[in-house]
Amino acid sequence: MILVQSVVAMKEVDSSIASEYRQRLERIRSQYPLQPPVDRALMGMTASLTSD
Amino acid sequence: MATSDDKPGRSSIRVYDEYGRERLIDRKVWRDRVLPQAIRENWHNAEALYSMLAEALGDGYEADIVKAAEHLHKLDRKSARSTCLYGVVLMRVGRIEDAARVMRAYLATNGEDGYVLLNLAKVYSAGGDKAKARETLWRAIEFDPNVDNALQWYGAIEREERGPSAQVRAWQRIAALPNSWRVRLLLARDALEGARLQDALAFYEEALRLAGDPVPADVLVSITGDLGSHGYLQEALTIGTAHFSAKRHGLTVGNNLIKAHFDLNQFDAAQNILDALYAQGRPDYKSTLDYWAAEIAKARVAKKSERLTPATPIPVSMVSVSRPLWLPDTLPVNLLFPTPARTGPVIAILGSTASFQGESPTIVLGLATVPGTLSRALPLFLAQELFFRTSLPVKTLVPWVTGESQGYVFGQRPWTDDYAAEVATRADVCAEWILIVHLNAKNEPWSVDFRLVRSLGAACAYEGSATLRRDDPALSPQELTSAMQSALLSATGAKAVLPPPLYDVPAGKAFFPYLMSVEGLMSLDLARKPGATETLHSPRDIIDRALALPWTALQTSPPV
Repeated sequence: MILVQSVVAMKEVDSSIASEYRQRLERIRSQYPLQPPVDRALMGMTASLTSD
Repeated sequence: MATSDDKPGRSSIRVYDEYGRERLIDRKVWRDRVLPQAIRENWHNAEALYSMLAEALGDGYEADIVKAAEHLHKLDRKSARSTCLYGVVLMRVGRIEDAARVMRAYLATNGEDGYVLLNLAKVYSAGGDKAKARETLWRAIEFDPNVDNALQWYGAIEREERGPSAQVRAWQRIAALPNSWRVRLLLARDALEGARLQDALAFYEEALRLAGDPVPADVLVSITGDLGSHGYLQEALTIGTAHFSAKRHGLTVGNNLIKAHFDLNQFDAAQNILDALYAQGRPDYKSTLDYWAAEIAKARVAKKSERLTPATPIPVSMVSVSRPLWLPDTLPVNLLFPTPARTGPVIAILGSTASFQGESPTIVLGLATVPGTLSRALPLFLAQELFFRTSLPVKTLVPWVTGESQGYVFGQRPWTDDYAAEVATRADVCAEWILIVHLNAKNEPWSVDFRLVRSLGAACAYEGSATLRRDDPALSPQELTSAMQSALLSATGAKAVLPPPLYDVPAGKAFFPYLMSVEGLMSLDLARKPGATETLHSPRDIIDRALALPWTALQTSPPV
């Protein structure tokens, strides 16, 4: 949660860094799948990262 | 990926995993397991095999790669570099004649090549035939006058035999060869050492014109490094920035440019290069870039502090945090952590102070030090504990310098009861109780002092302290706060509630990285305020720390 929210907060500070870490989050997500409710919640948090 | 700067004598090899995290592998494990497996995996891929063997050769493992180098040579027979690699491996294991035979065979079949000739000269030299070595070296230079090792070696021979001026004369002879640009870098260095800047600049101009675009990275490293080390920073930047590409020239050139900008107090320009290099996503750059990020941040803070003269009143506001920053008040994520409705007296928590070795007697605007970071993280953690374990409304108050030079306020004495009570009664706080948190970091073990003060009358209802051993593997975060929580519940008449099942705080040695990450998130959050971006130092560090947290908490290493 801290990691995801840190990347979300980073978007308004430096979008290129946020984008770099968003890709890392996606790689981690594919390698370490979470339980569906947790995954859905985290995906909800990151929604702003993919919208401009 | 393994770095090539891990030399024999060091006990480990540095590698980076797919997420860019640095890991050290024992040299024996590297040699006995990792290297043979990597060779097997890349047996039919000449490009990958070459890179791996060149790295192993650089690490001093020539005896382990003879067969693989021979195989590569057969696989890639027309390649000069594979021939050189095989020849050098043979030379290093003492098979001088075989090394010479391999290289001569290449030259006979494929014609002259500067690198093969240079390495053949080295083989002759290793075999004791100095005359043949020298003759072959000159052949190498005549064929390709831009092989650095050949120029350096030839110059060194001349210098040793005939003195420094003979070396320069040799370089001048080489400069007269067609398309000879690299030696001009050596002539420029000689000019700089003789304080002849204009001569040096003329050599650089010629070298760059002859070398063409894109300019090789080592050329820019040489130019910017030599000009910089002789104090010609602006000249180094003029040439360097005109040709620099973060992707092509990387850290070696970027490092020189950052340093030159930094030394000229051009922090924004230094930061731009830093950002461009970070964006390359190279884990092997990270430690150097982090170093510069911290240095630039320190220099910026020092510059800001110059503006905060004692005669200038410092405008301070209280940033109020009323729920864990990592838990947004939005669906569906807040459903993961159900908490009761907030009820009862408002509790404010005020920290941001620590006493530590080397403190100064004032409030300072400073870089993130460990005591400073923990002085902010501990109140956030306490507030989070109260948020999940009680129904009390809790506000963490973070003193923040506003105006032109924004940043955290970091006090080095605990807040007084009277001041805390005054803060608690402010209209935007409206707290009935305020908990003062102060970190004692002067001596080991560190400790945290708590004072629970009623805003009405500034009366202290509880005073306590908890020991904080940062390296204690058995550290229990809940024990740290339990006495204070009991006192608070008793003072307010509130009841404890069960925390949400998913709520868990890493214990033991993982607790401190956790606290740092919580504080890091607040720093990111505050940097979003208008004009506050500059307050953020090393933003990547914050996220990298959070990224490493799960593995720290599990007390295991991430997969390599």
